[in-house]
Formats: sequence, structure tokens, C-alpha cells
Amino acid sequence: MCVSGCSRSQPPQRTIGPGPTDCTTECPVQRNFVIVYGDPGQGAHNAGRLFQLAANTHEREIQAGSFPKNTPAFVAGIDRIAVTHISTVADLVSPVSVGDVVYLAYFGHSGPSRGLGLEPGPGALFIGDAASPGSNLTIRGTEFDRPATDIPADKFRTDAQVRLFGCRGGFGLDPIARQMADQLRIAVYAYTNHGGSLFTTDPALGHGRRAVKKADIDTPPARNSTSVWLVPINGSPTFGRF
Amino acid sequence: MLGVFGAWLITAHLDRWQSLASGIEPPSPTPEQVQGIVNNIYLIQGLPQKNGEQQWDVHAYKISQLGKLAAPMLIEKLTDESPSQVFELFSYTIGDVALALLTDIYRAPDWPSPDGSIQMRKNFGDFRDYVEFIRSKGTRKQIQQSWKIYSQTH
Repeated sequence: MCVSGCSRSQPPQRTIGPGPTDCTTECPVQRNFVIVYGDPGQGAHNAGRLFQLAANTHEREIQAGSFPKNTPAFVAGIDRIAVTHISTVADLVSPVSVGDVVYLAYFGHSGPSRGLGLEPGPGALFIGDAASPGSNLTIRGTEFDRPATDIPADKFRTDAQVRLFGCRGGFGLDPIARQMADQLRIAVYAYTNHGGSLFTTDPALGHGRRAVKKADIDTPPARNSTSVWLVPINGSPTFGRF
Repeated sequence: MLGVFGAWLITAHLDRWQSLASGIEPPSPTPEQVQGIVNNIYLIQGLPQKNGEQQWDVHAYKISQLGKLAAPMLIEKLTDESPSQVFELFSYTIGDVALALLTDIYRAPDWPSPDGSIQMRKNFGDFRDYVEFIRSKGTRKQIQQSWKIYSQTH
């Protein structure tokens, strides 16, 4: 018999031992895996449903433990995973506010913003495709921006990590990955490749096991694709840690 | 927060404010200067990820700051199918970059033709529709014609 007193969200943890009744005396804590995807964008930037498809693909891989990076291991039956569409920084804060977040992944538009001089400015997550207050996560400071300090650091576990799948998330002088790492004090991973991104249906490319080829550029995902990955255009997809 | 935004505003418009303060309008660029700036379109490495955002690439920013002065040259480049350095979900030609800059400058009510006179088929509901559309024969010429007419009245 396992210990009693564990709630539904904290089921008793069964351990392998010499006898059939060996149990731990502690309830395992449910951890939260949060996957968010931003607005599709407008005009030539319109990604349609592809950010959502990439987020759903990632959800399946996290649950199956098949994403070949050092992401936290998902424990079926204990941990919880949710995929959420967001249009503002407040929308991003909402699913994080559940607490005990061990993993946060973002699929959507991102990149440098206009700088003070002629050089590119601080990086941003362009979450919403409307020019509206709170639609960008960046330190830049216009009426449309909210800083990373809006994200409550105390909702993340100390062993948590963030992974950004947008364009140029870890590229440039003040990338958005750096801004988030400074605020959250946890590992933030983002592509350090320069240039924009493409969607691929090849898991080898999606997992960073090879570099982008011309055929990848010339062949966008077919209409009936169900598994897609968002990767940078230049070289092999490379995550930098911030 | 306001301080950062204020600093950005001041720096971004410093030249113009200095000119206004001295009572002297900044001189308009000569046609040769306009041509020189717009011809650097091939050096642009990226475009804003969202409509309404200012250009972050220095060459794109300089072209967009020319405003409608850049329009005739940009419209001429709409049919240029040579490759650019821009890749944002798909590989942009120079003509695609020119269209993005015209759209940025005019903030036209429709896209890719500014007056909505040319409609794309929506097979995907995303950028793939544009890629299919713009690669079809004669489309770039049609887009160019609609921009010529629009720019004469706006």
C-alpha cells in the first residue's frame, strides 16, 4: 500500500524495490510544461497555422521524450503539459502563473527591433500581430512593449528551462533570450543562427542533426503536413544557452 | 520605461530635430542620393517580423526614411527576380523586398496590390499563398502596374 494523503495532482510515487509494497513516503510534485505559440503574422509574414502545428509537434515529442535536447523529462501521469495560443505578454504570463513551471517553449515571430541609432536594437518576441499595447516582449520600451520583468520568476522551478524557437532569439547584441535569462535566472535556450527561419517536415533537420539545404528552402511544408519544425535558415539549427 | 522610449525618440529623430531647432529644414536628398540608397536594397539582411514595426536593418531603414521619394525606384524593382539576402519564412527576391518596403512606406489598405485590385488564391492561408502567387507568370508586372497607379494618387 502506498502512502495516503497524496492529492490527485500529487499521486503517490511507486518505486521499484524488493517487495510489492515499496513506496516512497513523499508525494511527487506535479510539474508544468508550458508550450505557447504567438499570432501568425500578417501579409508575407503570415505563418497561418504553422506555429500551432510546430507547437503541437513539440508537445508530442516532449511527452514521448523524443526531442533530442536536454529538455526536462516529462513524467506521464504526474506532470502536466499544455499548449496555448498567446497574443500578448499578459497571455504569456497567464499559463505560467500556474506555478511549478519546469519548461516553457515559444513558437512565433521574434527578432531584433529598431535600435537607437542605425544598428539593430534589442531583441523581441513579437507575440501579437497587431500593433497594440503589450503585444511585444522586449526591453525596448515603446507603448507596444512589455519587459521580461512582467514574467513572474517565482513561478518557475530552479531546474526549469525556457526554449525559444523563433527567428534570431539568441542572435544579436541584446537578444530576447538574454533578457529573459536575466529576469528568470534559469537556463534560456534560443537559436544563435543569423537570418530568418523556415518550417520543415524533416525531423533530422528539426532536431538539428543536419544543416539546411537548398531543397529545404525551395520546398515549404505540404498542405497536409501534421508534423513540422521551425528552424533557422543558416546552417545547422544551433541552440545557445543564456 | 518612458525614459528608454524618450531616448529612442530623440536619437531616431536627432538630425531632424536639430534642423528644426536651428530653423533650417534638412535638405532633401538629391536624385543621385536616393538612387544610391535604394540601390543598396541588395544589402538588406532582414525585415521586421510584424507590420508597423520600424525597419531594424540599416539599409532598409535608410530606404524607408526616404519615404515616397524612394517609391519610383522601388516600383521599378518589383519585377526584379534576382535573389536578396532576406529569408523570412521564404526566400525573398529583390522584388519581394521592394514590395515589403513599399508596403511599409505607404501603409496601403491592401496587400500585395495596394488597392486590392489583385487578389491571391488562398490555398494555404499563409505565406505559401504569396509564394505561389508571386511566382506565377505575369504577376509581378500586374503588381507593379497597380503600385504605379496607386503611388500617383497617394
